[in-house]
Amino acid sequence: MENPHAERQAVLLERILKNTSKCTEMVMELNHCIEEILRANAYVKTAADLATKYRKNVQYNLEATRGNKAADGNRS
Amino acid sequence: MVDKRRQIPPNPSRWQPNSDPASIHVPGLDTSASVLDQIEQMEQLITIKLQNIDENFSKIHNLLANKLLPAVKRYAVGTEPVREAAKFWTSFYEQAAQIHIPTYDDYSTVNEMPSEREEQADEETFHNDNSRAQTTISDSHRYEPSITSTENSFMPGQAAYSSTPATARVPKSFESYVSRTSDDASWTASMESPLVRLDKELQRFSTEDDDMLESSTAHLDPSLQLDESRLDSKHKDRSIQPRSEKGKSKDVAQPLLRNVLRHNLHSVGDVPPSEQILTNMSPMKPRGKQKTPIPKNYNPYLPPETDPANWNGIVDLRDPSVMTPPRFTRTKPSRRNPATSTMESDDDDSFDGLPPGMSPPVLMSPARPPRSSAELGLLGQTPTREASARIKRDLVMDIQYQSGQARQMHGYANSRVESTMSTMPTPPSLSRYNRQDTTDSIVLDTSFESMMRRVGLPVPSSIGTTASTPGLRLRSKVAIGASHADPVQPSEPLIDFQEGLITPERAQTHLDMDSDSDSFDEVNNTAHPSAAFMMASAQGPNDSDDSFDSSNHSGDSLTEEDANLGLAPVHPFAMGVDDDGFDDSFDDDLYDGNALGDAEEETLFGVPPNQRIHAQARMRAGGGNPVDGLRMLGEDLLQETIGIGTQIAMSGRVEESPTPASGRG
Repeated sequence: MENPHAERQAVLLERILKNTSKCTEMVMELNHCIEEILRANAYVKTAADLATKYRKNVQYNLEATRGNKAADGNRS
Repeated sequence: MVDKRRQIPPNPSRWQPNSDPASIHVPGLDTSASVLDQIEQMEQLITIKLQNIDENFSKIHNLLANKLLPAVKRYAVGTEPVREAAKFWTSFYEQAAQIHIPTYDDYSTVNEMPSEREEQADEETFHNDNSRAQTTISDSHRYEPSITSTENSFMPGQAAYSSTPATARVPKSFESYVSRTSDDASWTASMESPLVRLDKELQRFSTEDDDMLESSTAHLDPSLQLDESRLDSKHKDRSIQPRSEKGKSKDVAQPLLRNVLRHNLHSVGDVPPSEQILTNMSPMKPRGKQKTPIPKNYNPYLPPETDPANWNGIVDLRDPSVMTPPRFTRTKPSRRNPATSTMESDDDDSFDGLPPGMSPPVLMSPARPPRSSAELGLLGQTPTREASARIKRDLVMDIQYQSGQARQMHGYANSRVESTMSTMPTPPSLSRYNRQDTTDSIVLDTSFESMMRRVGLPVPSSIGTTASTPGLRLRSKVAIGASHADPVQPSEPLIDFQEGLITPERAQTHLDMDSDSDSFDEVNNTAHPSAAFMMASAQGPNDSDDSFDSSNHSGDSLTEEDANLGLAPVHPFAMGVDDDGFDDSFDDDLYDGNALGDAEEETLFGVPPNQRIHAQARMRAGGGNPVDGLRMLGEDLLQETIGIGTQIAMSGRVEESPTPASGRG
């Protein structure tokens, strides 16, 4: 005996499967896009890091020189 | 802003499997109905659920396709300007590094970001002094614009030479070098057979002569500049002798550097960063540098026991270990005191003729102080001093030029006259050495060119001694008055001939480089010679002759070593290394004893000589003996005693470089 419900459910499951695969595809594409963007933005990251580190170093060394000068002043 | 989005309905409670079927509660199921009905109902419920699921999935897909994706794309487009701006800044930093390389202050710039690589390398080498192998691996991948090569070039004979960054650089930059500048003699020359080289050289000579003729006949002193430009353009057109162009090497170098950097960046970018870092990531500097994601593990700046993640990115430039003393020292002196180097190169030729009182070490010493001072200069000192130094140099240069011009008049025909005296600016203090040496050098000139010159024209001894600079003539040929300098030149002809085969090409290269940029002479010298040198060394690490030759070529930076060279051909490298390395203490002694006065004059920036000396004394008193220097190799000590490191830096000592150790042991 055939179960109409089962049939229907099978169809539904198929649909679901199809949809999920589509979704997966979509997500993959999305990931790809984001990856691309990230890669493209590597410059931004680099620049930001450069700037940050530059600033940090400058500051640090400025302070260091200041300290040096002070020390020198004391010495002499 | 009000959130207009619908609230996401909370998920229904999860269905819990139940051991007792009777206790299973199905929501919406009429328990009072007959079993069949209930089953039917359950089926329907299941269907509905499935439908819901399906619907949800399709909704998700819809959202993704119609909203999220476009949004992301829009974002990508939107960030375009930001990206462009970032590119600009990135290139700005790159450029900054490049541009500054030639200049004295460049180091500060270099140090900031780009130099990180270099520093990295240095540090690594430094730290791993004991375990060379590791260093080698990491170093090999690094690209060192100018400095590294110089360093490597110093240790041709060493087995470990491959490990040095310089060698590493070769393969990397090599491609671009070759492809871009087929003319670059240093590379190609080393690769091609002597015969081919000779042929090329001959061609070049002929062309040079032509140039010489035109320039010398048509123009005199005042027109020097014009000639220069004209010559340059001319040379550029010429494929055969690309080297002589003034600007050419510069141009080449820049694109190359940029190219490498970019390339690295690219490669990094292409691979998913995370993977790459873990797998391929070698300490390769450019990569790490560019990509900031630098494998933290390799971050040289990282204090030993620090979690990379916690690193604040601050580097104390005063800390010698960080400063990568060896490299900087090396480069700096050469670039810094072209004069000094020139003088020394002169010495090479006339080395035998050194006045009895003058020992080679003495010659070295004058160079030293500037070195240290330059290092100190990192902290950013006294542009004024620098400027004054420059002016001085220019003045000397002018004088030399003029004298050189006079010489030219006499015999430009003599194709290549080795010029012991380069037109390079010599600080007054140094210049006196030059003169003495020069006289000697004239007498000593053994090179083919010198012979030619003699045949063609008797050399007035007085002229030769003072301004003569056969080199000038040379220059005139290559690029008249193009630049001051080929400090390297003088020594090369001699050696080359001695060797027999020679590498005029290499010499040529050096010349060109020198001539290329007046202001940048130093840089070029450092960078390129080193490259050439590297090649040379690579050719025959074991060949003492080669090493000798190469050392001469690299000469500018090596000049000091060159002086020693005469004594022990192979050793010079070790010496050079030693300068940087723990041997410094000895150097210091020399410096103190013999050349203090000169040193003081020399100091362009940094701590005043007196102060420095005091610092040295203090250091010595406080255990600055050689043993200590050795100990310094241990990174821990350095790290711990930053103060000592600073003091050392102040005193002009260079931190230990791995090279000396290898050379020695």
